[in-house]
Amino acid sequence: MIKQLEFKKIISSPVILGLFVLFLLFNCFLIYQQSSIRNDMKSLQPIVKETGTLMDEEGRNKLQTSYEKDLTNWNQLSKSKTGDTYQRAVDFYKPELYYSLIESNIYSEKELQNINKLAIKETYVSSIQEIETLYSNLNVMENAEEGIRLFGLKGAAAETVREHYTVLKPRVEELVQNKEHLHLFFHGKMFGTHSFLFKTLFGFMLFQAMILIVLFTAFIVNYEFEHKTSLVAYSTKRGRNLVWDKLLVSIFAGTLVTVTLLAITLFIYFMVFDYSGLWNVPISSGFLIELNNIPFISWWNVTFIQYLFMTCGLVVICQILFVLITFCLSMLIRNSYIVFTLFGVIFLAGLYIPSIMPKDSIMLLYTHFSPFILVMNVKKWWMESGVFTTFKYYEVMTVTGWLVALLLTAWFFIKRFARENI
Amino acid sequence: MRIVVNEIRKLFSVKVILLLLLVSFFVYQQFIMFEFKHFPNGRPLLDDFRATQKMLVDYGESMDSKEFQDFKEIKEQRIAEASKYLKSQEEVVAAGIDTYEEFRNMDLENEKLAALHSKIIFEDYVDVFWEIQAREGIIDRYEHPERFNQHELTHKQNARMDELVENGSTKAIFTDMVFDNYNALIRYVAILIFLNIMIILMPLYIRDKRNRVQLLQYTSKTGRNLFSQKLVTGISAAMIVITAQLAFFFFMYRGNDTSMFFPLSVNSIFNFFVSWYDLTFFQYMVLTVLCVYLLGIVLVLVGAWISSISPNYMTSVGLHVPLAFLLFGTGTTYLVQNLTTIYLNPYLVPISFVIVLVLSSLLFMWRYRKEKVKNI
Amino acid sequence: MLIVEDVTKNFGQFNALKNINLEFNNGVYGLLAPNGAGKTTLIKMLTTLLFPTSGSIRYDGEDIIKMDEKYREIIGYLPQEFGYYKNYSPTSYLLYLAALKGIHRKTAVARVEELLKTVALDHVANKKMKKFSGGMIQRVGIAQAMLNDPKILILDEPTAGLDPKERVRFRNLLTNLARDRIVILSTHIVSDVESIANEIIMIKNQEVLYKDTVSNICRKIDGRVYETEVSYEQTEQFRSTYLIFSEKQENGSMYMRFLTEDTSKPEWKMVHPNLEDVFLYIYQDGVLSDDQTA
Repeated sequence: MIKQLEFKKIISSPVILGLFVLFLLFNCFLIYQQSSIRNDMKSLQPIVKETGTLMDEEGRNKLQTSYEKDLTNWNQLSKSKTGDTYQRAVDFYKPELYYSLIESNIYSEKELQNINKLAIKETYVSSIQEIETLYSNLNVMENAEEGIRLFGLKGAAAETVREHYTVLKPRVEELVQNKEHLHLFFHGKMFGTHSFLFKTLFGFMLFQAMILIVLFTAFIVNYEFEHKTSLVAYSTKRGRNLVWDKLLVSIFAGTLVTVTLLAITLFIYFMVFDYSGLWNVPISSGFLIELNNIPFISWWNVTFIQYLFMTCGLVVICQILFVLITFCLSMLIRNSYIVFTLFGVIFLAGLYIPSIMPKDSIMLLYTHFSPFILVMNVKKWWMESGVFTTFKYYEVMTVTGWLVALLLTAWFFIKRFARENI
Repeated sequence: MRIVVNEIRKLFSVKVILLLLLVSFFVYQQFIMFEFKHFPNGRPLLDDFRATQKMLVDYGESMDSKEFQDFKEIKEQRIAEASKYLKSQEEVVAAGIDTYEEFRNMDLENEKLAALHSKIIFEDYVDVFWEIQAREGIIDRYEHPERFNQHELTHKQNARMDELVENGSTKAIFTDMVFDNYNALIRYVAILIFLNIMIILMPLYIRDKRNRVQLLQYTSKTGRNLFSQKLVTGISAAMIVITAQLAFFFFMYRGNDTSMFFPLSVNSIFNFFVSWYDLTFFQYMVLTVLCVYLLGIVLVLVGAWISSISPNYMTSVGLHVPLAFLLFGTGTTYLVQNLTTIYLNPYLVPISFVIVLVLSSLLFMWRYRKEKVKNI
Repeated sequence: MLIVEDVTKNFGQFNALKNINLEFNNGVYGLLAPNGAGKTTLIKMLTTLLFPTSGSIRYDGEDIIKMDEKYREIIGYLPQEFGYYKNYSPTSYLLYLAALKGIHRKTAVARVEELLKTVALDHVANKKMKKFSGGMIQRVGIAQAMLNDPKILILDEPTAGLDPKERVRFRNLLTNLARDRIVILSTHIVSDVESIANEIIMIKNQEVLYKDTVSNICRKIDGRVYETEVSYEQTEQFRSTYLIFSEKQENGSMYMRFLTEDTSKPEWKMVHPNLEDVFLYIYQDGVLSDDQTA
């Protein structure tokens, strides 16, 4: 009952609801902006239907045959129309020819769509070889050394990084053996779906949920003090244990807000972008590789849908960490807007601290185990993610460590509050 | 006046000042210091910058064709130096390379040669090779002013471009490095300033309202005029913050050593930015500063309005979130950066300022009218 | 002279005061009514915090809302609950309010010092108010109301939090002040005003019921107030028959003070009614709930 009433204080606040709706609208806007590529993305599904996602010897042959057949068809058409034939579908788009073809309206809308689809198929076909070469030449130890050089790591720090990458090495071999990298997925260089979904969209959602959570946690914890009801509330039977209710309600509301935000936004995202047939593609697929040419090497063989849920789960846990941080701050400081600002300061400090660590100290790596750095890089969760955070259990360690530490701190503050003079 | 001073003192409590310092420290560390420490950001930008600086010293503010010849000659000298260096390197000679031309046209697919190349350029950082590249870039841009006018532009934009080529503004020895660096910096500084203003003005009205001090204030001689006095307070506080932050910023900016570029036209061929007006870099800087002050006033008006209608701090902070989003994003992109750019309508910035100023003033006026007859 | 003429105040559908007519000259006025009768509403209108729905309040013939700061310049107001800054000392707080009241700085410094002495806070003049007791805060409030040497001093429950000694001092202070100004004192503590108020204003059912001197008001029930001893067995019976003002146990029986229209009985002793009796008599039926205060 107490918890319900506390929860009502959050829900009945128009600002929280208003911001929530505003954030959702903004996410819809982001998706809308991206939606122009949805039709091009869709041309993957027919391919997958035809050949399956796995591009092993067999799948590749199937795809190659299908592609050649389409190209021949197209060349017949083009020959009859303009007398040209194309070696590759992309040649159609060479600017010196393309504009005159379009202006002279030789091809119908439908035919243009076909060549577009063919060109996309061609990209998938030609990428397979690229991906194979990339992975057969892939030496993660070299990546480690490059990173170490780039960031000027020395001594113990550099050694530890090497160790972590040594652990990653067999995983890469396993990945290649499993042919995880050879599964068809939306072409990263063309569509960049991974970055859009896990960097842009998840990035925004993380900050949106965080803003809401910090706001209402700071609000609810000091509600009694701001409304001058503290004397009455904390002398009742429930008394100072009321802060326990406040903490639990904040965690519950934080989870609820995060889950709802994720659920609605992702629902809209997957309504707009059709992922059918691709849910079970391994997340380490080489097709995901984007313009920077860095492969996604997940620590475990997980499929896209598993990865999505793992990521959502971690987002929720991160938000609970933020609830706890705000709670602790609010127990120290009674003014909610100062709590809000201080949270921002702490966030920035969390990002800043690693940069003042000595380059040869292991502390440099430890300071990266923070939720603030964690949430800045959703795109690379559960994966090889650069020298500082490539550690098999990086995500798990970070959140459990902080969860335990923050729970203890919160418990300490509650105990302290029980004896505080009000 | 005394009332305003009192109110300002209330806003700048020790706690808030500490908070501002903390926020400023981390924003500087996280975003701003980078642009100071890494200016020019690595090579070849450093070499580009050095070459440009030397041009300025040697030729003055712009480069005529005779000076350009000289510039080219220096490049030839550097090439000779480079060749000499190559000859002194045994491994290079062993590989059959002994002039700069050969070095440049080396087959980089050949692993051995590629290793040599990267050793000289990236490991030993032999300056002269970098300098040649930088000079070639500058020469290339100077020799092809027509590229300046290559975009698909409207008639008016084209005319402006032609005008600039004609009046020689494009020949100014200015560089995009300096310009981009300043633009990036002023944006961060503007955001930091707006953040500071928000933090300071948050309690402007809320505090006294929640505290019931309002009862005493509104029954004093000053009475409900205090509402507008507090706006004056807010604007003064914002001016203090803006001035202090800008003073500190420009103090730090001196370290970038760009003062020799101040009197040069921003419409140089060496800069990617083109303005509707014949601005020097200094004038451009003044313009950005002016816009930061104006946006600061708009922020005070809106922030004061939020503070006066919010029943509690959560609402106030919550309402500041979309405001910050607009201001830090769109606001700084169009109203602090890229001012007078030819790619936007020349009236966009002034009209936007008029609109936001009028709207925010109306918002505040409306609130003030209501406050005058409100039952407390 | 302050005149309240036909003033009505509504909050939406709720009628807080209707057709109030009052006239204030120099002297102490006690505004006496139970909580929720509209005292605070009336006071807030006198201090321009609320605006009458109809009717007008005039000072020396001029509407106080039109007078604007000219009116606020001459009033001093102590709200029932007033705000202060925890980190301010009484001196800096009073100087802050002095600025708002438009008092010249030099004058203000001397005045603040003098007032802090008057309310016996000079020893903590520069201590932060964070640690002040309720009574100390209340005294800061009283000082604040007198800062501008107001012609009209309006005090809402001013004695709350003061100990008996402080109350006495405060009453004497008011009597002195009232010689050349209007002092309006709102309270529900009868003893606060009984001895010092020149006139008492009683509000009932949103209207002014009495505005008269203490003795005139007491005369309304003269001859109907008695005291007597009642045995314990009869107490219940007695209570339901008469309007009891007070009762206390004494020597094994109950000592009752009560009002009746009946003819006197020999064991009853007639007494002079006091203000508290009148108060209880008037408000015997309508105990208004607290939450109706504005």
